[in-house]
Amino acid sequence: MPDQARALVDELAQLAQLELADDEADALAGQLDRVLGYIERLRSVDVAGVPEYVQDEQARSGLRDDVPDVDVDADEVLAGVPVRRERLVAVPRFKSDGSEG
Amino acid sequence: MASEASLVDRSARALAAGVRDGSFSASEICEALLARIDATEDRVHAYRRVTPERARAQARAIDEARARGDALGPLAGVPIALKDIFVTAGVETNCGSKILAGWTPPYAGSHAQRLADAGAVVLGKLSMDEFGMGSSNENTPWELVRNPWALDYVPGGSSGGTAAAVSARSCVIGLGSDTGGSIRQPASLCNLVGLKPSYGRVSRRGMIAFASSLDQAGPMTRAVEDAALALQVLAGPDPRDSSSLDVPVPDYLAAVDAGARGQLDGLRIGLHRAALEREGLDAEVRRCFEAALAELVDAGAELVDVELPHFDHAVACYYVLCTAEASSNLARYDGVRYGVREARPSLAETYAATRSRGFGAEVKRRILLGTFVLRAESYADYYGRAMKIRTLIARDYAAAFARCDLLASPTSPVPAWPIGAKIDDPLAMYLSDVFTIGANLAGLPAISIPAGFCAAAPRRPIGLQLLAPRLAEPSLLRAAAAYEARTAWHRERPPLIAATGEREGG
Amino acid sequence: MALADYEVVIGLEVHCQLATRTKMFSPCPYTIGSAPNTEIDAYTLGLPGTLPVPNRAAIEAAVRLALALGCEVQPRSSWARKHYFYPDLPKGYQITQADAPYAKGGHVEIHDRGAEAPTNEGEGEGEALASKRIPLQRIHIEEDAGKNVHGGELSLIDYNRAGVPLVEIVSLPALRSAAEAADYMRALREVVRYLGISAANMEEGSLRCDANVSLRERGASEYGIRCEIKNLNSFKFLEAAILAEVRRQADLLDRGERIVSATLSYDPERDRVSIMRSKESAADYRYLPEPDMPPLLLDGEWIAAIEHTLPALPWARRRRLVGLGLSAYDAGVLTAERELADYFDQTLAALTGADAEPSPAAAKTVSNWITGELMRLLNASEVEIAACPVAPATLAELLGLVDDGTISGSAAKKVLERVFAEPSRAPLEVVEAEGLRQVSDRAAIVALVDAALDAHPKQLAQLLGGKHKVRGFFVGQVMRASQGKANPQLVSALLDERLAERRDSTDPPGDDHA
Repeated sequence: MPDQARALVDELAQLAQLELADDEADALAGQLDRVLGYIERLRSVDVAGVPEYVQDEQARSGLRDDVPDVDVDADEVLAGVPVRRERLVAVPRFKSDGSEG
Repeated sequence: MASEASLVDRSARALAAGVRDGSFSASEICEALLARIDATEDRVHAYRRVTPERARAQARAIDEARARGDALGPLAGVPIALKDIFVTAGVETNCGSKILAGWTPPYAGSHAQRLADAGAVVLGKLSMDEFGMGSSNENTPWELVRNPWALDYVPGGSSGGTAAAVSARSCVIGLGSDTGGSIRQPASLCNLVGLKPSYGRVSRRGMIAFASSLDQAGPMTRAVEDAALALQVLAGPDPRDSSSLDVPVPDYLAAVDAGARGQLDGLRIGLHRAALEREGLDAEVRRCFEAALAELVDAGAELVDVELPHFDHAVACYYVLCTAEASSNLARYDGVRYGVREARPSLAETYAATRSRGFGAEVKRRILLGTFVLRAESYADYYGRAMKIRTLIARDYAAAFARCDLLASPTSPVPAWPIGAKIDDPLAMYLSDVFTIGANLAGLPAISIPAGFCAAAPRRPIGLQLLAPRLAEPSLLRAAAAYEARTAWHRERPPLIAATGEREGG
Repeated sequence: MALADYEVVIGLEVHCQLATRTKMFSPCPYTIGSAPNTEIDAYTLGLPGTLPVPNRAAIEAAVRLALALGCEVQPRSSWARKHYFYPDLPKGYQITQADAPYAKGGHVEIHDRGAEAPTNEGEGEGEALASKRIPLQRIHIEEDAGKNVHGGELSLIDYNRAGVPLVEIVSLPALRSAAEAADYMRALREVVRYLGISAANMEEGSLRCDANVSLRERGASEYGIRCEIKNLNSFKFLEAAILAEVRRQADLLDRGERIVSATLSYDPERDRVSIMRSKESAADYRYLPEPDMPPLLLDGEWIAAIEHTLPALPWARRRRLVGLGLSAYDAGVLTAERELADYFDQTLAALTGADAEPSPAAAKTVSNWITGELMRLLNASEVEIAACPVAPATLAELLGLVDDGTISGSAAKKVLERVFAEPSRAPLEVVEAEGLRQVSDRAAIVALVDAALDAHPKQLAQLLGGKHKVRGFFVGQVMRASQGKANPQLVSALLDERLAERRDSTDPPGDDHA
């Protein structure tokens, strides 16, 4: 059982781009297991024919006009970037296989 | 010239009126509060960052405007502080997390903007649980916040710093955020009024997202009228938030003033009794709650029994939904475009190191849980299912409101607990949200108001929660004002921090 | 198995950038080609506390496309977050539409290569306009990601493009050849440009294509395993890449190997596809219904209003022109660009008159002049039809002058050249100024004909003797004598008349002449 929980934590950490120390991962595995156990109670609810929640009074689409209205200057936005090369945002080189999406 | 003592104790409404009519200046109010911060912070640690020079400049500007005869806003000269979840242009904003250490926002969030436009003076940013996740303000990489009523006890969370500051009188109005009770619960633990508006009533733009469909901004104050005043300024649609409601904003102060007469004739108050029978409800909380009900009945209200059939599933439902949304909202924190970057040789290591070192344990816990429930293979069973149960919960409340005007419950099942007592048991911590999360799940407005103290030392506050149908804040505020008018709990001050700022016992 | 025994099955996913002033979910301006990271705002970089607000103009453009392609526009659709970690994706998720897209079904009409006759130029047969419909699965709206540039030890990201509105058009796997796939792309680009919703330029990246390719034995009912070729940025590469992938899959299948579902890229230098990543370890996007925005509602009134703004589309126009008697080829040329098709329509309408139906003759005339002389002048001065100095009404006026005999065809060419160079001049004014009116006076022409016949008795005798080639000589003589102004039809007719008369008067008895 604990091994399964730990394997799950490792998998989830990978998906969430989190790198956990061993003892950290073990602790989280135990806690996650407990919480998931608690959440199992949701299975006992009959949800047949029930739609997923949508905020009522939100059934308008909240659209806006196609007019420029810049809230922050591009330079100010760039000022917060940790690592740059001139105007480009820099990260360590990664494999150029194109966007995932 | 009013003494500092009386200034720090006055309501925002009185201060703003006083500034407008010249009884006091914004600058003297500001100085009084800054002095108060100095006197209390070493014990309370409510503030993440104090901005005295900005505050003084804002206060000066108000005084100059008054001297010129310019119109002054409804919060003119009122010293406020913002939970560090609110984006403030030019003032570092960390959201309680190391991952945003050093981040100075280049834009002004809607809340800071509206409050500034109303003439408020911002004293600083308040400590909080990281990314809004927590019920005790212990999920912080920085100094723990202390409950001014009992310094070794938690102030509640995640708006713990907000509650501590307002309660210690080191600000007059504090702005907090509430996703599962994070305004109301700390208000309850610190003897304050804490209001969570209906979902969409206040813009979310500039409030760093934790769980988008649950988050709302709201005020923490010592008086109901101040909460109404703050809501009046904050409420309204925002073209930069398409989940904000485009509906008229009623006169909240009028509702408060109507309620302050203390009469609630014909008001039907719904009671979900089954919730009170649950294990874990502190006996003192129960006692105070029953007394509060009796007071409401004395004022003319009628108690009605209601059912909330899915109440026992609400906490589980909430934790599936909020962690899923949190895992999504926190995906952007990777050190590439802003915030802290833990540079490593490869991109993948940079992401992992930045996030792992930047996020605390509770945040990691919730991200993992959220990632789990959103996996393609788990979606239908967890997130999809929880979204349907959420519909059922919303329907439960709608059905209850067919039979009553407001719902009443304790805010928190327990009063403040000692620092460190629950930190190792996340599930126990989650279960303490049992009374508050319903309002977030159903998008309803809810308020916590002071309703007594526990008998055992140290004497700690206990709050009463009222819930109303969507957009029925006036009804909520009227009832809260009536209860406040008939009771004296809200007038009490934390004994450890006397009004004059002198410490007890030297 | 021979390649011909495999059936190629192709489905295309096309991303098209909408040419709106601002981005999809924030009012940040965008124009192609700006300096890096100059068209960004707080939302574009995913700054904490920012929220998406949808662009109405982008929605309208998307609905126009759906209506033009015959899709069912959904009255209610919703947004979703698609999660993956990548530096060009600022929020760690892309806002798209997953379970509930705004448009379903629909089709793209393309030439039916199978039905076309081998020679289809200039012949005007209806069959040459054969088309088929490639069915679509859906279209949805989403936001674009930034662009990565790799250099040395660093990768560099420009977020200008991040957040730009995209429509993703997903076809059913109904294409059956690389050539067909390229036709589909061209047809889609044509529709999109007709609607004016996108620059749709593959090289610039405003039109992108991913191709899903699989093989199966002819006659099989199940589909084979498919592979996806990404980032194809020209029609040429699209065709070449598909052909390369078909070869690769056929080779594997011939050797009895399984096709492993994968994502591929195409290397044009080596004309080969290579695997980028295997799809068996595909990313789990952890789709989440977007909590920051309410569902997208498109009511009937709004859709109807948008429908009214649709222009006549390429295939409808082609069918109309062929119906007017034009060849499929000419119809194709005239409808290749909306501006050209509009120009043709307007000229024809001006020539025919507001209330009348255009005649095939008029259509033919207009077609010839536009595809001939006008295009020649436009190309020579490198002017686009949209900027043509000759207004359709003016061209119509000129053609009217030819029609009613005022000027000859060759004179009209001269007039057109003049008006093209000096657009403020009216055709009739040029005719008068340069004395280009043709002479249609019978008596005058008869005189010229007689004079020519009298002046060349040897040629006359040859002509009367049966050498019909000599006739042209006399026509030329008369035209020269009239400085080219004689009405050529009249010259020809009167020449025949005068010849006939002379024949009758010189006929020896018993000769037989036609």
